[in-house]
Amino acid sequence: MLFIRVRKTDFMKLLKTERTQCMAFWTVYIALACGCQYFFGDFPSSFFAFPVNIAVMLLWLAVLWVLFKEKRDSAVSSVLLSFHTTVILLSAFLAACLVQGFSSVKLTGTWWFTAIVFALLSHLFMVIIRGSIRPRPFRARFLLNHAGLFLALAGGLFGSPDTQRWRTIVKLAEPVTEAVDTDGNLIRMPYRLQLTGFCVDSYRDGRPGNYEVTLTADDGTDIVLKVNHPYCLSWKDDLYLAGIKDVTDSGYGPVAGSCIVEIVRQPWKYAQMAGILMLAAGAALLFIQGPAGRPRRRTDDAVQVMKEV
Amino acid sequence: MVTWSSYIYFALPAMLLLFIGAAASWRRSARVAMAFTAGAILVSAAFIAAFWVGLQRPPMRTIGETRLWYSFFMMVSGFLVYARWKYRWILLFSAVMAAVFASMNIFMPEIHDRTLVPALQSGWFVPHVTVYMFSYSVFGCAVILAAAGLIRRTDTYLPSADSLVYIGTTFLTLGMLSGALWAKDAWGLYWNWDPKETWAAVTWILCLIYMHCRLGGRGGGRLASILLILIFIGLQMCWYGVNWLPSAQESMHVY
Repeated sequence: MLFIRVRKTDFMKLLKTERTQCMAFWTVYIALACGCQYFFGDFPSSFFAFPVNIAVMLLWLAVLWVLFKEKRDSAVSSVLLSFHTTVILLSAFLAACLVQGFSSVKLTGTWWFTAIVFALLSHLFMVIIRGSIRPRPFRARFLLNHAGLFLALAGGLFGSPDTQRWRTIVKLAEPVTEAVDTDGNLIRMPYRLQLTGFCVDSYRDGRPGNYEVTLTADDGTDIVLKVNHPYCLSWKDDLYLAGIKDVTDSGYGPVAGSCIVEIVRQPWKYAQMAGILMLAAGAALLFIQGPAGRPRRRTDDAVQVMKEV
Repeated sequence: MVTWSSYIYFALPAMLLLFIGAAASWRRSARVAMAFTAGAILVSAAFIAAFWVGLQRPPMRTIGETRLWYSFFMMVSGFLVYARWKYRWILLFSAVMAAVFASMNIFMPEIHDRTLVPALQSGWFVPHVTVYMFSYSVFGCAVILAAAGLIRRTDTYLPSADSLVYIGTTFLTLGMLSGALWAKDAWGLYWNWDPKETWAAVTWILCLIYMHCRLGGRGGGRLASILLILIFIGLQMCWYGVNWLPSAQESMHVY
């Protein structure tokens, strides 16, 4: 009886530890996401297209802000601010990447992958608020790295319903206004394009060295496209050269009869770009400042010990 | 013109200088060790420069060419770690790793192909590959420290491993971000979850786990060393291991 009582007390103590609470919280959370995946199929990303994604994001950030400011002692706030959550969510994200790395299945549209990224973003937002108001060493580095990652990930998650890709074949003979989206649907493009010029360079063995094409838009603008050199059609649309087709030898050199172009609409690219630049600055500070909280005496002692070895 | 067939005439003297440097460091002659290692680095750099000119493109396309950079940066990283911490065995280990990759290039130099496909003709090509190769070599040194710590059952090397992980993660992050910017220019999106990108994410997340565990005081001794070995395995998967996976058939990183 005494033995059972002792075991029970230990078990209750274990349940009250922050680590166990975090583990339990995130296990239930990911299990729920897996349940949604089982019952409803893939995450309905298109439902969250603009303006729903903006509304959901603002509401979510407001809830997190209130949690931090008003309900700081609540269980959810504790879990979201815990060090264990960092390790658990990074490990869950790692597991998701490993599954994707070893298989050829795209997991980014699943409920559980979306849930892990959403949880990671929630955790990042909470620690960013805490880090910005509380004095801490290397604060600039901390904020650049965490806010940069937040922007890059949030731009990817909330921006994916608004991201569209259309491919079309542009010919010499006539202008095109139709394209095919990633689901294979025929759509009418907001642009009218026609191939008007090309330049194809080949190596001696016949392999393509470089190629560029000139397209004319409906307003008469000449657009020069090369691989790795997209053309900005508008603040959200970019035009890419995906390939050239119907290459024949005219006697004066290779001639392309048509080219494949892709229009990428990505209004959230600016948030991602800002995140990437902040992460790059944070990485530079990581190099300049070195390990945080490094016990200096211990390091110097270690160097001394190793010199003697 | 300098080609792969000339490589042996540069690689053998470089390896000789490197091992003389390693022997000198073992005998506690730090200046001699650093002078010979610097000599090996210069010989390797001379080959890379001449090879670059001969190819008329940056030598960064084939696996053989990236091995060349790895071998070169392994010498540089070993030199820098020795200059900073004076671990007398680090030059020997970095010399062995550099020699392994140099030998692979002597015995299987991949292809003597001078063409550069249009997708690789970008200003991002050189910084992206060199930054990645440098971070791989820094993690190569960190994993040597981790293995030494595991074998000797000591945490003494962890502060030095931490410094290397911070340097390696900086360059790994810059490599990943330059890759993202290049991907936006080439394919339209910053991140496509291509197999190579997925494995880059795996490695980066492992680095973040290592750094957070160490910051939280949970990554002592064994766990930290095991994480470092996992990071190194992740890097190898990202570099060439991914080519053996079925998903590689769909990769946009196959040229």
